[in-house]
Amino acid sequence: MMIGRRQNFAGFKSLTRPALGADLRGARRVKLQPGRGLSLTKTGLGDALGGAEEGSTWKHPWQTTPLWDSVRKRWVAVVQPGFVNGQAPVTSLTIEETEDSPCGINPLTGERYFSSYIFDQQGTGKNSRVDVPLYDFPAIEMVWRNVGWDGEDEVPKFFLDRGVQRPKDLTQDLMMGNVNLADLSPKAGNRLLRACDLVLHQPRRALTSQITLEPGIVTGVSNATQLLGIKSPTAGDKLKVSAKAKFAPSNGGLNALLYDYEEEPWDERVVATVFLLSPLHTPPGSVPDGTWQPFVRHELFWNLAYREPRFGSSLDAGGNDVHFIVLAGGAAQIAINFLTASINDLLQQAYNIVTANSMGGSWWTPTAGGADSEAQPEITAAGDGTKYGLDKDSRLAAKRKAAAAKKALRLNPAFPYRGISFPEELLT
Amino acid sequence: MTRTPLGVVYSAIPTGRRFAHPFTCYLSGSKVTVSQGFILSEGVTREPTIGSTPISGNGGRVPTLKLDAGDTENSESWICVEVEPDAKGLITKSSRVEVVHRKVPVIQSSPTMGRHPLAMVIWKSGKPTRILAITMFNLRYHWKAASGTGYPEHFFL
Repeated sequence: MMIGRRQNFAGFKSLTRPALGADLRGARRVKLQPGRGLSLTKTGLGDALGGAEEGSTWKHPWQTTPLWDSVRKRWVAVVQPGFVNGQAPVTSLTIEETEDSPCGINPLTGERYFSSYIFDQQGTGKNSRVDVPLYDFPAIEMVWRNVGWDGEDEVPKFFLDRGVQRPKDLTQDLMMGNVNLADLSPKAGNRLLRACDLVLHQPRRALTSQITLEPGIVTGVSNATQLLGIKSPTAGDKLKVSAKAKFAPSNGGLNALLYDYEEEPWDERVVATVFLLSPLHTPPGSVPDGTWQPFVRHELFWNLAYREPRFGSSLDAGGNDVHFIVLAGGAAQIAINFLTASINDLLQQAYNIVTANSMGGSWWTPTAGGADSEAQPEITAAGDGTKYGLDKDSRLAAKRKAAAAKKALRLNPAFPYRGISFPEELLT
Repeated sequence: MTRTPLGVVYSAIPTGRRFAHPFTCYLSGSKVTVSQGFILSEGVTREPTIGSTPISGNGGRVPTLKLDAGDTENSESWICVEVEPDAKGLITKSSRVEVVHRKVPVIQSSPTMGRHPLAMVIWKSGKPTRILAITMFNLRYHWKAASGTGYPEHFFL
């Protein structure tokens, strides 16, 4: 028997050579079977046992690694570079922020971040901000929201199984005037939870809308004109990843007083949510430190394609009430005329037009159009062994099943993870 | 290492995982080779070429793509696949489906050609130093006819 790729045997480091030799001699007498992480290949010279190759751990795009920065006493995240239309997002840091960081050395190149070309082009002050591309592995400082007992109610089941308790709803007790002080303390074994969203920001053009109303003198029906236009992305805005305590999608609405509307000139989506789980007996309200345990729930796993819709693509250019106006410099406006009998009717019509013509873009994962793997449904970890009464075997089996289910419960889907389906309406 | 009645089971910590995906780009000096991958279209599956040779090679010869420092911007450039469909937007056996080196990664709308990035090349001191995979699956190509004053749109999905 021989062993293939011997130099890469991370799993054998703890074995002494004589022990390994004795076991291999023993192995000649029995059938050799490959275990986890190994492969067995039969050759003319014997069986070759191939091991896991150290140092080649593959990380998917956007894979996020939380790190405790012991120098600055803060949690940071390093995101494996992901791409949108081939472009790598940046993150904005001060030079000082990266200088003393444990992530000051780019793990991929082995060089300091400051050797990257971008630092040659910027100011040299410690507080100068630089946009560091994700492929230079910048350390992104995270900001936290409280989840669980001392925070919001939405606790993932994964963490409920690990001791996080939901906040106590005292509304009913307060109304009845029977608040028990014991209710204000968490139950034994409580662990606190903090969360931070890493958000991908994609600049784009934005839709603008203005409504003018001409009241009908005789009929009571007004003639309204809605003028749609396009606003350019904010100057200097870039494709970037940043940390937010909680991601809130922009929810622009029509201004009922001014009859005008303007979209945010960007699209955003969550890359990953980083959770920090406290040790036991941590007082509510504590600030997380290096003793807290990090977990990451990814929302993105693959590189993305992105596309803005064509301006006015949902409108019929040949219709009587729609007029395309081409302005100087190639800009365009669309004027839509309609009749309305009430303000509510007007706003509803205007809102429908704005929604249909939003410049909000679409993301998708280029996978040849069919490799979309959805997350496995969550496995219930409720192990109620009590219903088996005195049947010891059944109770044990139920307990084992519950333990296995609890272990199987995960924050992320298994490889090939999950992609974003292509929005087929782009082809129509 | 576990002894069982059926034999000795050897286990190792699975520290290593590789994802051998289509269109993997390998940088060697200032040349790039690309592993096999396919562009799927209506009824036709094409392997892109470098020059006139399929990327996975022909008769044992694997083609290489020469990187030119002139095709960079901000120390970045891209290995891309370019597709030139026929007038109906279909890829045929004679259509150009070629891997090229460009300083702009994407062309989404153009009269004749669509472009999609396979990998990003990072440059330093006028030399390519790193290559980062972007495309990790085979690609499906779709074409959308021009409407109004615009150009046809090219989709890689």
